[in-house]
Amino acid sequence: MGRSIAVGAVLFPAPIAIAAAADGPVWVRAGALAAAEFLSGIGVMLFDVNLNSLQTTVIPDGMRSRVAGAFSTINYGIRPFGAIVGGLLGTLIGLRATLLIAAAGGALSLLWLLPSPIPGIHSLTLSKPQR
Amino acid sequence: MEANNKQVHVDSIGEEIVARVAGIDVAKDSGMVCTRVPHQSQPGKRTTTVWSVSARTNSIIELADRLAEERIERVVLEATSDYWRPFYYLLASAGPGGRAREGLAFVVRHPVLRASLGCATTVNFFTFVSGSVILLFASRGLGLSAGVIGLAFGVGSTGALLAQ
Repeated sequence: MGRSIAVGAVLFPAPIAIAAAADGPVWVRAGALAAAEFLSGIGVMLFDVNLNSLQTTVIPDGMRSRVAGAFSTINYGIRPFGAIVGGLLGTLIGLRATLLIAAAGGALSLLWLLPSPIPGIHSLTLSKPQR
Repeated sequence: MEANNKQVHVDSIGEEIVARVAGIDVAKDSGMVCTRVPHQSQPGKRTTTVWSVSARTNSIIELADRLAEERIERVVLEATSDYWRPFYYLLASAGPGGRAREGLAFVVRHPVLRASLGCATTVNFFTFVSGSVILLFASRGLGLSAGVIGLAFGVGSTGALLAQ
């Protein structure tokens, strides 16, 4: 569970580097793009599904809406900035370098998880309702 | 105060002056509220107002509005047992952004939620960095045609399906 989240945190953003590094005949380039999307798709599912389950378990009923509001504001609020930075980097340093930076930076998200209790969580035991 | 001077301990480490402040002495059924704010016309002087508020949800929400009107910056509670709770929670969630602030405070204090928010936000940021240029790269960088790009994304998307 916790390990799946950690694997997903890397497998979701990192495979785009495969597409960025692709070269050779057209089927290799297209295959690299497909492989990147394929692995990234596995990563996002490992990440999202498990992380959402975990969050649902640790948030007390009385705090759900407030926590979801604050969480989503930041988590989704960052997206436009990511897109702006992506566009700027694409213009300034090139598309390939931008993708490599995105892959490396996204994989660094693992650093948030490592010192936290998350990687050590193996299963969610449904205890009595907390409130 | 002068007479008992030797018994007055000043905690110099945490000393702080708050211009517009309120204190509430909370009892079982009511709270005695005291506000201290700068005097409206005479500089250096302060106005003290004391009144009693019943410990009912509507009364406390009215109190929150009044404290907000007076631009009170901090409220200090003194209470026996758990009687501080209605005052604390209702005042904390009052005002614009109150509930969102509470939610954020909860996330930041919780080790699992803090890590997952940091991680998810970082992932989101960088996937949007790559997402904004990947199509352009597939076309210009990899030199793929529209049909091949569509095929690659279509084949690639099965990864998400398999992981389910």
